[in-house]
Amino acid sequence: MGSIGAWYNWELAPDLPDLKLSIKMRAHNSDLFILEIDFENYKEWPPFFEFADPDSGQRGARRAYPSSTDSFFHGSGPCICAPFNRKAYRHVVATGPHPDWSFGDWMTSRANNYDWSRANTLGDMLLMIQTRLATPDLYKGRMQ
Amino acid sequence: MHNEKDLELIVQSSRGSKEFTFLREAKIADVIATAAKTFGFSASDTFRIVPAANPGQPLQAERTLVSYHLSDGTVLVLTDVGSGV
Repeated sequence: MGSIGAWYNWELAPDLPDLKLSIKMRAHNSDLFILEIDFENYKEWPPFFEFADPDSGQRGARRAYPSSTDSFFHGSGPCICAPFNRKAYRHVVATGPHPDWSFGDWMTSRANNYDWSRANTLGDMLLMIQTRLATPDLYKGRMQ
Repeated sequence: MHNEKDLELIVQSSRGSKEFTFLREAKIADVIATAAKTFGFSASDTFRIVPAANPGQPLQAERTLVSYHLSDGTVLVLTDVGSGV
């Protein structure tokens, strides 16, 4: 994963005692995003992904989130709407878009007819996020 | 011995990096399918492959490697767009 991170210039700041990781990512136009990940009870639970506003530091603000051509970056929450994100689950967060998901199959989910086993390593997840930032045909700026 | 019809590429993915040899006339779609299978991903039409040095420009699946004038040793990144749910 290190090589991928190097190509995309990720700045990683691990907090090992608290099982957290912060990553600075940039979009193709240099927009900065700060992604914070909480690995509590990983892998029994999926990680909890949150964006923090690079200026104010406010976590979970719409301005902290990117927007893409699909609903991967979801306005409800807002959140990354994928089975690998704990914040997308309604039973975790009231604004989670998915009351129909449970943790049991998060690594092998077939939600939306997609095989989410392709995104069950941290590298898979980060690259899926970065891909939406890196390509102009997918990235649509900040959510707000 | 290196065959002039072949192109040696390095493909990086979220699950590692590997050297591949493809025919220069190979289609990008075949490169994606081969790389995805090698790295253990299930087949999907949601994969893309991008030059590591220019990740904003995905290579088009229907085109051939030679049409991009890639040279031996070029590094490509295999990415999966996944799905918005």
